[in-house]
Amino acid sequence: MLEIETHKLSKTFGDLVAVRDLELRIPKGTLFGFLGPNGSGKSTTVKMLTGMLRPTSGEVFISGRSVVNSPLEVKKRIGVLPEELALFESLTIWEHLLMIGPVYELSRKETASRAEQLLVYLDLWQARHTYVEEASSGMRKKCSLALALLHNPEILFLDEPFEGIDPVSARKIKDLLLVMVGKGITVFLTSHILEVVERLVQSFAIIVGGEIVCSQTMEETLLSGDTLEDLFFKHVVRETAEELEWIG
Amino acid sequence: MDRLASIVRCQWRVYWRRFSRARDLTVGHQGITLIITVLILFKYLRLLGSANIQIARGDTTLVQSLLAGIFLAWLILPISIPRADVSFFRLRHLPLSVRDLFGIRIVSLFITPYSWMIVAGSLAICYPLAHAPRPWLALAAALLFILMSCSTGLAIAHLLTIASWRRMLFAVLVLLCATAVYVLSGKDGGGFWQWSQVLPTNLATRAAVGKNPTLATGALVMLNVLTITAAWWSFWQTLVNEPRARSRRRMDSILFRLPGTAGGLAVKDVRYFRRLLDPYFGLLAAVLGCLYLVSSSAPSAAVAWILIIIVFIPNAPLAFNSFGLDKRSGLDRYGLLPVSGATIMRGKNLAFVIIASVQVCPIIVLAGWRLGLSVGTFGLVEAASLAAAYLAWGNWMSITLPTKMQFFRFAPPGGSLPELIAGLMFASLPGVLTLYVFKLRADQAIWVNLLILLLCGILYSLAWIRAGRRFEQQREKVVQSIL
Repeated sequence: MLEIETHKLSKTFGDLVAVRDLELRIPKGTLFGFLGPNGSGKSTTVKMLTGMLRPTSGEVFISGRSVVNSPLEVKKRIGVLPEELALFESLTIWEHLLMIGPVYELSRKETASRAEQLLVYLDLWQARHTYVEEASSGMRKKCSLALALLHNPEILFLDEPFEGIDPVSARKIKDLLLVMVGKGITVFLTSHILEVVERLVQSFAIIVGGEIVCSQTMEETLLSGDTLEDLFFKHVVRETAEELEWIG
Repeated sequence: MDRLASIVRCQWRVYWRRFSRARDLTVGHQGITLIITVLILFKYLRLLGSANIQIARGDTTLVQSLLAGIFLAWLILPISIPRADVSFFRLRHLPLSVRDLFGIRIVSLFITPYSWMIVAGSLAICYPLAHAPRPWLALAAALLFILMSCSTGLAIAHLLTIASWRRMLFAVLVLLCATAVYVLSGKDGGGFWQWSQVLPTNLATRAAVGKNPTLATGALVMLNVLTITAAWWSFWQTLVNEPRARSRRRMDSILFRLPGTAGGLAVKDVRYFRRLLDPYFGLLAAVLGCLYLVSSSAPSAAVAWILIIIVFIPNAPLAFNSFGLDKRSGLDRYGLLPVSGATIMRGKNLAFVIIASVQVCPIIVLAGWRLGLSVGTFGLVEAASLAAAYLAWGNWMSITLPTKMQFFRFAPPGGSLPELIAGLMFASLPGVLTLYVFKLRADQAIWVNLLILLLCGILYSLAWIRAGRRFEQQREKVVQSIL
């Protein structure tokens, strides 16, 4: 069964084509990596998949439901760690969780219980009464991740989850993702850290200039004798540091 | 100097880019706002002419009033406009001294056309003063007065960003208003008028026409030293008061127990709305109203109902611009939540009702206690009608004309002054009708007022549903408007 499915998904901003004719088919219980350089259209794709941005054309289906036609049904089933973290100023980490729980129809008791477990797991329990604007970037990211996990989503979208996270927490998040995938939860992950993605994901796609240039499973990659990094740089042009003659 | 100029240039660009990005200088009726401002300036110029004649005769009453107006304008200017589009706190990592940053702060104050008008209006006061018996001393005193007003405004704007000072300034404001009420009631036996001799407006005019002009000018110099030092010190405080990672339990976390899907969202908005300065004037009006109801020997029911109308007015930005304090990050979270736009609007409306209730309820209770249950009931119906009317207009305006607001600042009129004025008139109508109907037919007034409440309720329901739908469709547009 396909959990995430897109047909000719496109997004344009004026003259700029951010995403062009994207075709994705991700089965249930897959840990999927979505890679690409900065400005390639990764976050725009995540926003369209999660109903935050309306596609210019094409269709998105999450668990067989159209994101455009049934946004609330889809949003109840997904958890999202967005690029901008989507946190409110002047609320503490704990207050964020208390606020979000009832929105997902969790009882207050259940919300508090899950929130406590999540914050302890993510090493945020001691800092739970810290205002998000006063928290470090890693703490904010973990707070947003806790919000994404609180309602036990069927599908998890993570936009750069390991950026700014300490190694211990990163390891815990990786372990958690593997447990979740083992339980049949689908994880859609974007990251620039290729080594991490290589060790975690089962399949991946590389997007450059809004178009998918490569899509395969990790098994296929390993059989071809390439690493993910080799494959990535086959498709992404790299500038050399020697051109910056004035440095040093 | 180049370093400072480059930063100021950036601020200048950021300010004006808003208009170029909107691709339309008439966006939000800037033109109408300009016309209203020009009309005010025209009236001001005529007053200057009258002041010119009066001061030549030795009468300083009008000049003093104009100076008080100038002082207020300078007080409001730094509070109402953003501290800077480039945060000074974020500029600290650059190799700039506090003096450099303070210089940028002062220059950045004069980026907006509103500040130019205030400068022009302030300097225009020199015209009548130049015709005073001691023109040179009068001009020097006027310039000193303008400088003092500017530095006082700066100091207060800086201090408002610090929690303990905010509380203190609010207490001072309450005290000043209570003093004003006491003086105007004529109970102080003229004591205040002796003290008024040392008010800066009085000092400035004394330098022009009164006794001891040198002493008055010297006092103004001293006041300038004090206020400039205060502006400098308070600016330095804003830089050194680095946000600390606090880890303390907030008492109002208890509020997060509000039931329903919108409950948590409403509490978040209560916290946001509390950080706007405008509702504190509602609170101030409510405090003064309660004082009146408690202390007056024969309080009037009409005054109590008028007080309810007045208390709602400063709270208008909370209803009319309910997304103004949200940032992109927060609006993105709204987009991620599995809730309809109507639920989000309900949360915001609930927050407005909580804030307004805190201010209005004591007046209603005291009115019921001092004037009878029927007056209290009328007040309650009036307040409910007013809230529904404010929210009916506000829900439409919040989606159509959202404007960026900032914590611990006054809500800017934005580019929607005509809509704001029309909204205030529309939303205050149920209160005015309450008074009118009671005066006309007191026996049937309760039924008419209940009918008004019903109408306002229907209007509110329609506006709420429509605004919710439009928010779902236009969330990105709202985000762009408040960036």
